Amino acid sequence: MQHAHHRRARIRPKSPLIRAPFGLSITSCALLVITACGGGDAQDESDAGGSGFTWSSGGATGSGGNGTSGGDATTGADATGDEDSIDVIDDCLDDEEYFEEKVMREVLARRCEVCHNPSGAAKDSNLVLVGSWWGPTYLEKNREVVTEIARNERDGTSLLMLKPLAEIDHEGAKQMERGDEAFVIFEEFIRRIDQPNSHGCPDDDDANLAKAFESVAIESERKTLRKAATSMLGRLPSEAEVDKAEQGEAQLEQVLRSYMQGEAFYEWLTIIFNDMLLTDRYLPNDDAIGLLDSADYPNRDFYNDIEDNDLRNQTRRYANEAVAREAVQLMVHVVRKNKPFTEILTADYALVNPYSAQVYGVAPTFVDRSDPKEFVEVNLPGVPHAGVLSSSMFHNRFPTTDTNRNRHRSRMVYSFFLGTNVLTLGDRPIDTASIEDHNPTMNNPNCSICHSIIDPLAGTLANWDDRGRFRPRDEGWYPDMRPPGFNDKVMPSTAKNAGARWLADQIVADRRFAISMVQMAYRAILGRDPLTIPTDPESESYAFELAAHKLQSKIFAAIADRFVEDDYDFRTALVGLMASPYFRASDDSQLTGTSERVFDDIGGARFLSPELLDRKLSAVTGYPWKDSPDGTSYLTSTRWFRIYYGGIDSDTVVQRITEPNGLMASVANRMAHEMSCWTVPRDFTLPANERRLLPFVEMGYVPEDENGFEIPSAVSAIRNNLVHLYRRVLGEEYSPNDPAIDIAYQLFVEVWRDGVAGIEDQSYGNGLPWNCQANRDFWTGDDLPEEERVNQDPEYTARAWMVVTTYLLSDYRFLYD
Amino acid sequence: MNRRNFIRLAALSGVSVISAAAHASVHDPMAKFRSPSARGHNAAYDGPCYIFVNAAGGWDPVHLCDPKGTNNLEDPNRLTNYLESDIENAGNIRYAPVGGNQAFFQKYYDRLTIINGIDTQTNGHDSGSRFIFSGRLAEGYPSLAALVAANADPSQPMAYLSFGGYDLTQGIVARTRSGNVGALSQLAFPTRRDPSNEDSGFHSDTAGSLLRQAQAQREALQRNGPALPRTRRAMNTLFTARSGSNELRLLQEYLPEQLDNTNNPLRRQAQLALAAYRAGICISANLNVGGFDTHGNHDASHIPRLQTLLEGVDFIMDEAARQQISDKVVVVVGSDFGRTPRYNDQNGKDHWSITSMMVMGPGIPGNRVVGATDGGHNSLNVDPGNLRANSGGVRLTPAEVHIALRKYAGLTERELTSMFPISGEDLPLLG
Repeated sequence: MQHAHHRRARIRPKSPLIRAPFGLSITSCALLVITACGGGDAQDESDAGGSGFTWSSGGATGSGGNGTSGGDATTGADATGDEDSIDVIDDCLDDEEYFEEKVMREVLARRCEVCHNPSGAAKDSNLVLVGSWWGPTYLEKNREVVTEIARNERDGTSLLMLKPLAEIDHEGAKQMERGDEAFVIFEEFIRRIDQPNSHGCPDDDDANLAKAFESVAIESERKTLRKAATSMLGRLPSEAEVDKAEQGEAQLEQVLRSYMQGEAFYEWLTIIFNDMLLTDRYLPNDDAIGLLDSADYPNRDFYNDIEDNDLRNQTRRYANEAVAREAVQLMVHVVRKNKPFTEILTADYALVNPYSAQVYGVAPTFVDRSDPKEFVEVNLPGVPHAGVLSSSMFHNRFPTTDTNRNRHRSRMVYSFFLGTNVLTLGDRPIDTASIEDHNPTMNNPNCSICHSIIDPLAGTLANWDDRGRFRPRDEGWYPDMRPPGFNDKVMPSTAKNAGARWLADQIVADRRFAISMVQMAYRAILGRDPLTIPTDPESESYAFELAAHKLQSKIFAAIADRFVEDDYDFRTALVGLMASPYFRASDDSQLTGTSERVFDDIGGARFLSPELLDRKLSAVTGYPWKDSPDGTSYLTSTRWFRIYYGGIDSDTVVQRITEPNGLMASVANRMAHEMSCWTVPRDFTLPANERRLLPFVEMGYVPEDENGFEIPSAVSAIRNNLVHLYRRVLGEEYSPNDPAIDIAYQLFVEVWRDGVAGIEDQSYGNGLPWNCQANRDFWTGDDLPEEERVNQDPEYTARAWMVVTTYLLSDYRFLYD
Repeated sequence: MNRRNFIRLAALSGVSVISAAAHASVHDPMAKFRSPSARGHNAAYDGPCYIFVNAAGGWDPVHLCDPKGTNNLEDPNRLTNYLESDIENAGNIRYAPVGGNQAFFQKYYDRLTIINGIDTQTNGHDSGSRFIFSGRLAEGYPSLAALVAANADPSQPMAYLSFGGYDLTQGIVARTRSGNVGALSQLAFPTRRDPSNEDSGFHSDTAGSLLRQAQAQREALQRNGPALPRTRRAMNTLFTARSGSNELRLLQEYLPEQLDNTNNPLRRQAQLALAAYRAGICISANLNVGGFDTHGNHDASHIPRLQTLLEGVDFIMDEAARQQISDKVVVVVGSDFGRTPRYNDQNGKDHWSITSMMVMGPGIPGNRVVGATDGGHNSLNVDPGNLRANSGGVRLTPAEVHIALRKYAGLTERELTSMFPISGEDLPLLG
């Protein structure tokens, strides 16, 4: 690695709207320095050479020195200068980064991991390295293992040196020479173990991390609150909330946290938790209750004794919904009651409402025995509770068979609660002809790499049978599988009848749990999966993707820390992400070159799901897309557009579509047309100060007189109303004469002119289309007084405003957040 | 993890595990729904169009294509209420002299293969429907319609359109399920208040044109404005999705101005399915009509349903001819099972495991009946060579029918098909 080949470029922050990631504060606007090895970056200022980049906050001096007291002087290498990497944090490797960048990537991954992995030749040694499949803490785990080896000495020399030098018995033979690069790296690693935090890096990690985002402009508090309030609450933020949030980061977080109360928020949680558990599959009919064993719950269909048809159906619906959503409601309950989120797994209770209580044959106390939304904690006789892990619905939704033996459930537990995708373990070609062993899942490396992880956890759930019933196995766990356990721990025999509870305790004590909950919050808020670590070093984008992943991991870790510090308050994870650049990055960011590549996926730009668009429509127009308050929601009903618009039914369609196709664009188009037809006339029935869309105009406000001359006062009012519409519908701020307003104004005027001409020559009528007429109060269904009705449009202004409203409701900024 | 377990685990979780041809969507099963530009796709589908028509509830073949007349209308054990001597023929096809049979069979006998005496081995609705339309009695197989679509081009946005019946996919293709034809027609004509009325625009034609101009101006402003890379991609996706090339506009091109508004649901379903096929975005479709589970008052209820069914199939063929795609359309008609030979106390008929199927399509021989039942509507074994009744021969089940259908559709050797093997006899049921 040669310093002479490095070039330095500087990007000055372009926007004054710089904010730190959640929990971090930026006090300086130090320059962000990109150190480049090789061409291609438009910001380069010096001579070409090399092939990679190092991104660091070198400060205004441009020295680029690593400023460290440890490490790379001993290696002779630039700690910042790996030619394949982009260091997005700073130019100094602290102990954690040193392990990742040097020990892991340059030595262990290249020389050791081929044998020292869970299925490798050294799988039974004390050094077993895990890959990114392990989940978000795989580097931490490897560091712990390697540190433990390094601390073991023989005659004053660490085993970490002796083994690869083959100076003691090492089946892998000699892997390094004294004085070579690997030797120097190991030597420095051991020195750092003896003298932790001696690296000399600036100790303000948060500030360093914040600097990495300096090229990312952050959107205004108003916009942030707008996105949060419309999605979580189905309303727009109040001016008081915006004023408060504009006072500072802490106040913004306070306002965001204040949003996380109330039924609209808990309903939103129900949606996002179901996106994971998918138990809404059992909502139709009595599908959930039918999964319960009538021998266990002989009163399960108690509602059949109700004579009145309507009451019987309603009771069945309330009971079935509570049973179907028992796991989802338990997660919501934990948040609602401000309990540690670990309780979603460790809860020693189940949750019932007055109706499902009867199904289960329990009789807890309720405030209102008719309220289907009242949930209380109960102990179901004979069931050792472990939150979601003891939910019959969870076990039914992720079923097992005699041959699957809970492996599927194990995989889902890893995925949901540990952020670990065990299927990526199998992402390599397997020669099926090679699998001839007896019991290959135990003995064949092709199989055991997965099964050594999956099977022990599967065993902890042994008491749950294929129908999700608690049925401890008389014969115990399968002797031809690994014993029940988790990580390296074997489940004690005393936990045999409460394996799920034992497992829950292990999971919540695992660092991966906190991070996986942050990941879940990210999916809920951003509508997409977190970045995954790139796997193809040959890819042209590898270095950028790696840098982006590293940044995101750092932010997630910071949020997870706060989440844990706040006693696992799930709201903390949500607030953290909503305050972060991932949610708040502004389109005003001036990204170029490397920063553009690294921040390729930052920002919202989320295509709203049917549920979120439904909420936004209500927030903006004041009305849902329904024929009546009790009618079917066009956007969220599976009978109408929910599936077409990318939603899920939790049954056969379980993954949301996050990019629109032609069908979805058509749904949006219809929504924009129909909602403008309905809401514009309704708005005109109200006094101006109560209108949501048209507070600055009346139906008699026409832009020109009979001679074609502008009427200035009317034109001004129309333009002011357009400014209001852009702000309300799209969240955009313009002056009345902005080109964006001009487009809408021209649309209004030209439609109006055509309409007036059409009325004159009788090609158009005076009346509004019948289903756009506002003759009744939408909410009550009562006829409006004659003078308040809007069914005629002799000036053609209502229809012109309908076109403008269609224009705005179909806009990118309305359909995305 | 070996392939078998991987597939099972993935399928259990709802993850698509599909052929190499569709491997791009393994990690993102819904990627196939995206607009052509968004997913890097491509050509309209112009292969055969497979339409599976389900008579939901269990039809009665003795009132259709496997007639069993009586010689005494007072006989309490009679199978039907028509005389044996009244049974009619259309070519080699015998049919019951009731309802709309004559019109249908006289019109289509030379294109029809009738398969009688199929033993579904079940009296359960779900299992019967599953066996008839997937070829396997046990759970876990996709419908043949899904298999056809997955093998042909699962990336098409409406590759498998279903209006009901057995339509499980096992994750090999995304199914567009629409029990609500009104919803799809509203999407095909999103700017009309009434999709079936071209004069019912929310806005005037001029206003609609001005709206599109303004949208184009706005798009240009947005494209040229500052934007994060992700925002820019998102805008492009949306603008492409609603551009003139999107699938729904193609669908609109082929939908009739006025959707059928009669009370025969098959007609509207057929209009949509054929329009989607013509648009090049659909490969197979399940059409569904119910009302066949006539445990009481059988003749009065069942025969009109059969007539509705046949008129629906007739509509499919007429519509295909009108759109000049008769040579592309394959129609397979079946039901959960049959109905008991004799009437119950309520003049109804209960579940009976013996049934029939009807098949039409290019290359399928017409004027042909294979398989047989005896006078009590019990299945007769057939000779595997000439398919004539032979007590030492093979008992026909839906498995044999599906082996023949898979062969006809060219699926037998496909990798995806090999994931769902059917055990049965390979018989020349379709020639």
